[in-house]
Amino acid sequence: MGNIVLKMAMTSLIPVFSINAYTQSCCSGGVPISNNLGLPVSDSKTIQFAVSYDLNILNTLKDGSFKLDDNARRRLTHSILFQSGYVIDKKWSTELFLSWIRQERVIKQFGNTNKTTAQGLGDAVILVKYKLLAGNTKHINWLIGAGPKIPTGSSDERDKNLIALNADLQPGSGSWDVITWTQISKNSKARPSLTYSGMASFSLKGKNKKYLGSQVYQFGNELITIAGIADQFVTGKVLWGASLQAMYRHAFQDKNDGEKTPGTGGHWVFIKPGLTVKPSGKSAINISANLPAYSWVRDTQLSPTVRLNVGFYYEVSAKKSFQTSLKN
Amino acid sequence: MKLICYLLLPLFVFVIGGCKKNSSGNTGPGSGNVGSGNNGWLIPRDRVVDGGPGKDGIPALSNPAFINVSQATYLLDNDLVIGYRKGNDIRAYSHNVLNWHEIVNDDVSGDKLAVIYCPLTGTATGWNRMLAAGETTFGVSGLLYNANVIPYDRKTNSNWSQLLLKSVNGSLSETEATNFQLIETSWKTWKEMFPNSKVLSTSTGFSRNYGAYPYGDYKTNDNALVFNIEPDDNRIPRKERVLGIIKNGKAKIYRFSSLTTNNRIIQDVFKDESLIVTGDVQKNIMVAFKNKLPDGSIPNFTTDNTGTGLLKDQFGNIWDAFGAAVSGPLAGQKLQSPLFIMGYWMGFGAFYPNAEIF
Repeated sequence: MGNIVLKMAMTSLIPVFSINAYTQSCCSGGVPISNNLGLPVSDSKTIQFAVSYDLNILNTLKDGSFKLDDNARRRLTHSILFQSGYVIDKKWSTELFLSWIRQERVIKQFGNTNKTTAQGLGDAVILVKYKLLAGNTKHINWLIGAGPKIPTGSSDERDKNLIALNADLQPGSGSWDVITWTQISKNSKARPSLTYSGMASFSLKGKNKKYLGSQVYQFGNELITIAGIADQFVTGKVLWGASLQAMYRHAFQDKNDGEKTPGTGGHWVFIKPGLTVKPSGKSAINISANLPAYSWVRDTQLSPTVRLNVGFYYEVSAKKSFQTSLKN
Repeated sequence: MKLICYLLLPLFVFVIGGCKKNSSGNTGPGSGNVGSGNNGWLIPRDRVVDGGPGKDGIPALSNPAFINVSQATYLLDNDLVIGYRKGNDIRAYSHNVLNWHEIVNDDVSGDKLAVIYCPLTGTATGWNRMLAAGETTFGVSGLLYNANVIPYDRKTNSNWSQLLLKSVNGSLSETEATNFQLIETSWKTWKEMFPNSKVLSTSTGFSRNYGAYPYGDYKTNDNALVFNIEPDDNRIPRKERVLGIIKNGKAKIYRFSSLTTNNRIIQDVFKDESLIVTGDVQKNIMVAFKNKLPDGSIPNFTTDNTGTGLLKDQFGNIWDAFGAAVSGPLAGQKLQSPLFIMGYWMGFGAFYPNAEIF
């Protein structure tokens, strides 16, 4: 039973630890990229799927670390995130990440409401992961990963009047990025279901050389670190997981034709509670929120107010699947 | 085979679900409209861009509050202010506030003035809010053309180009703005010249840090452009502040460096009009007048340094920066001005290709 709980703890860990990475551009939500990277640790020859809905609400206007009393502008980024992964062997695994993005900007000012939206495919990520430590004795898992972010999303969307939208409202970034990622977790000896974990990622941003036709736009590089604790408990026949994490995000300033873009970049600290339900050993449903605890933005920007993520995870053994098809 | 199918399932879902539908709309005034022809725009629509904040995301001010010069402690000596004078009603609109609101809808002793300021081209224009359709206020559309603000009028929802000085989209398309002449100078000079004037208050009803410049090093970095301009004329550094005289769709540019000789007075002719450009580099002021006194006589101007005065003539009149005679036989009368705008060279170079440079 202990091993089962341990394994379930490990497999449920990473979806709750989703990376909520948004690059800010001109006071807003930007393009979500490495969100939710890192499918759960699982057995060799396992095929993994995850789908989640992510809502990022930016309604807090800040000047540096000072909150301004103005909520006239609201930016929403709705994301539907699809992931599929394959655990090649005990060391290597890979995953494909796809996104569909809807950007919304709503301004309520002077008794009027102005709404602008853009939606479409977002960018994709391919991540190759390697397990440096898989210590069953010390209960430590340490993974590293890297991969490209591919500009599959559109970055030249226009509004209904065919006016070109700026980078912040585009579903895609238009650039090839490099993402590096690492995660370490350790289970408590005394209570195997209790997990301590840390995660870090760094996104090295490429350039969109066709921004607004002829400009070169580069979102700021981004560093994310997460530290947290998660535990699991059983009620009846249902296994639950709860987690609490602290996330630090540092976005560097964007660049436009090589010059720093005002109103971009900053530091954020979030508290991130999460809850997971595991109907079976192969599936999980999780919900989490990002609650800003501290932020400092360069110049004046809209800063995240709250972020919600609801996801479903499922895995299937390729070995069993392959054997079944042979029998058939 | 099954393995490949599983891995590619998300891709399939995305191809099916990846249709796009973008929209932009509103429930109130200011929606603008896009008609026929060049999609209803007098300017290339493909080069009109959404700047990011959105319509009214930068909130224009209406019925603004003013304070006395002595109360304007939020201003530093080198801060720039825009000035307007109607009789003895003299008002200063600071860049500090205009950087965050771009438009101030005011009433200056009966003049329905809209001060329109674009932080990206550094240009300020004074437009009459009385249109043929009636009185209006202007708002910030959130759109830009050649990095220059596109205001919209709330009466007809038409979009206007600040530096083209006319409506470029909507029912008022091609309607030219009626201009009120503004001046621009440093706060230090302003308070010496107009100590009894009114100054735009930071009590705007909006929460902003008026002590901060929101565009980083933009105003001093010649390489920095948030949005491209075309043509990008490099005869003068992009961010050099110049005076541009606009007439019949043409512009002539005067630089502060031209004021270092001839007793700081430039005599020139532009579009068959005799004019003078004068100012003071140290005081950070440059203005232009027609070279004719209100009584029709031809002046012989020299500079004046008495505080409120900028020029004096051979008849004993002293003229301030607005061209108002503050003393002398013509006291109370005013010099006429050609339409001039202070701003970054980049804007004039883009909107008035091949502009003459003095």
